Amino acid sequence: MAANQKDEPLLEIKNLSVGFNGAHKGKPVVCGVSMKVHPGEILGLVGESGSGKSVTCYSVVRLLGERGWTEGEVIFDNKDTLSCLESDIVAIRGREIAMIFQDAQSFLNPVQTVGSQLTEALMLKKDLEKRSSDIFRKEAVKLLTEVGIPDPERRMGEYPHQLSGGQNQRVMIAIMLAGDPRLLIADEPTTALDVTIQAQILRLLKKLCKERNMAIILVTHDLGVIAETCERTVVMYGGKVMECGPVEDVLVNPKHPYTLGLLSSKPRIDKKVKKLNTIEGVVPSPENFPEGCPFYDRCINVTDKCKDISPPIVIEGMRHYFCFNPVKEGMVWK
Amino acid sequence: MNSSYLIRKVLRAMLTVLMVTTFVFLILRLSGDPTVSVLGLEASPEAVEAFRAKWGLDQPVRVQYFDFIKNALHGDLGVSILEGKPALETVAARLPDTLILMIITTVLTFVVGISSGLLASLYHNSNKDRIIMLFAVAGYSMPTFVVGVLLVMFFSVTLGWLPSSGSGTWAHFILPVLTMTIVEAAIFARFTRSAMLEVLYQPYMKTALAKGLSWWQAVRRHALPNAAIPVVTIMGFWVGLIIAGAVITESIFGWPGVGRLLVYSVKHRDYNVVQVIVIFISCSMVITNLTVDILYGLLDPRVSVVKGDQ
Repeated sequence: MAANQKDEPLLEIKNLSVGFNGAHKGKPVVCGVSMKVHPGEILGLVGESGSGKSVTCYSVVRLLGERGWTEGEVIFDNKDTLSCLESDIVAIRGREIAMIFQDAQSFLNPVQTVGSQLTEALMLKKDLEKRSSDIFRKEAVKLLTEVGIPDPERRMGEYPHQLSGGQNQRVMIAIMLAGDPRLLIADEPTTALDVTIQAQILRLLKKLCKERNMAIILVTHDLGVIAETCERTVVMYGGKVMECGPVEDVLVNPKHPYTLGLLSSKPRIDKKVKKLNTIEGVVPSPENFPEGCPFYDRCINVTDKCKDISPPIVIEGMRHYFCFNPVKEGMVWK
Repeated sequence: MNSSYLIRKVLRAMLTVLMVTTFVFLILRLSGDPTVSVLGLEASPEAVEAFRAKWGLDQPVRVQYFDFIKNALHGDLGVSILEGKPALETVAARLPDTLILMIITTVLTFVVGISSGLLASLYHNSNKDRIIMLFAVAGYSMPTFVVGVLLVMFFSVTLGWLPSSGSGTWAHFILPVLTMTIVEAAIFARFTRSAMLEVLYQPYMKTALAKGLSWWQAVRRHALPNAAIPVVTIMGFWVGLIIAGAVITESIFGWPGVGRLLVYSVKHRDYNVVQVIVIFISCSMVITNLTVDILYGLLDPRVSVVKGDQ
């Protein structure tokens, strides 16, 4: 991982702001987010619902829909995916950057077989080579085997509604692997699945990352998933990055009070507590995002300037955070 | 799909046709008889009695009904009281004119309605969309008889370009076809648009784009097959619509088809002719619905025709 840090980043998000026309009184839902993803690493993007994780991911491949707008830069292969030609971004999607989603069943076409959705993706990658459908079929079966679908030959002819949630997610992963991408964005891929299946899918993603040297951005609201799967993590709240760094540093020794709050509200098997900790209050909606730190009104370390002034970046070795009054060693929530 | 499913469907269809025919049979007889319209008001009581005896109208309705069913099962649907020819022949003679009108209208309706609905959905919220929907709402809101009369006023009375009634030349087709197409294409345009809009924002469209399809490829390969499902469903209703449209349109434009014959026969209580037409209409509705059911199962793998029926 240390070696990865020295590599040229595969993807670099610079000062990204995202908003939707006609929503949230014109206020952005993501403001000034920056992060880097290195080849072959798994980056965890964690935060509550509404913190802007998914929107950040969708804007990387320009899938926000017609009302979305973006500012800033997303550099992939010396190209800004936010401002490049439509044909360039179409060429990047699937072949360079692929994406999997939360609820795989509704993200698969209900009237097409698994096989035809998979071979369609394979044909796109090899659109210049004329090959027989037999070869595509064989490749599709190989991919299904790689993602751990039992009896892939039979599954090829089945429809998404005939498969379980976990199998659909595996099919989705297979479809997105078809283009042999260098970066896979996984938007809460295990949220809709039960815990055992969740563990299987995460193990699969880790295996694929290693075998294919593919980078993964793993979006989740589950710190356990981050701890288990990722090397680095970015904590987001209210459309901004709170802190970023290697997982063991951020989760063991958080600098931002928000991370501390998240960690202390997580149930633990090794400690008995009468009542779980909570962070009082709710995530503000984008129209109420303050000029300063969006977490100021729920923070235990709040200072006078937090509301109005954006905290500057504080860099400490491999990690950085945005806070005027960071967590001191040994501090507990409340 | 298996044969027992089909047999069950066909039996049910026959029951529907029987019920519709029975209903029409009773309603017609309860609402007057053809004696006056055939013999006139000044006919002598003897002539009236002879007429009623000849056509079996002096029998109780129950007896008339069972006679009708018995004859119908032997393929005899009775004789037209007004024309004296077999009712089936009377209707068959008018059928080609109506069918031509319907086929032209149907083709135009599907082409114009579906394509403008698609266009409106793909350019959602643009001026193209607004203009198409303006026309569609206008067409949808106006009853056929208003559209027909407006067209006659404009093209026949004011401009004098097209004949207002009759048949025979291609010019006679224009106004009746236009009248029916305007109303029906509007319905299809609105329906296609909303079916497409529903589908275009489905999650699987995001997947299609994320795997690297261009927008148009995604629309063609993933949106259209899904949007076709609800559009096919309303095609089942369309037969009823087009028949209702034909009845009114043929009456407005003096078109010598089955629709006008139906109105005329009801008015003069030509029982047998009305019954033949009603059997025709209910059969075509039943066949269309069966076809739509089967098509539905082919288009949407989640709908199993056999399971859905049990």
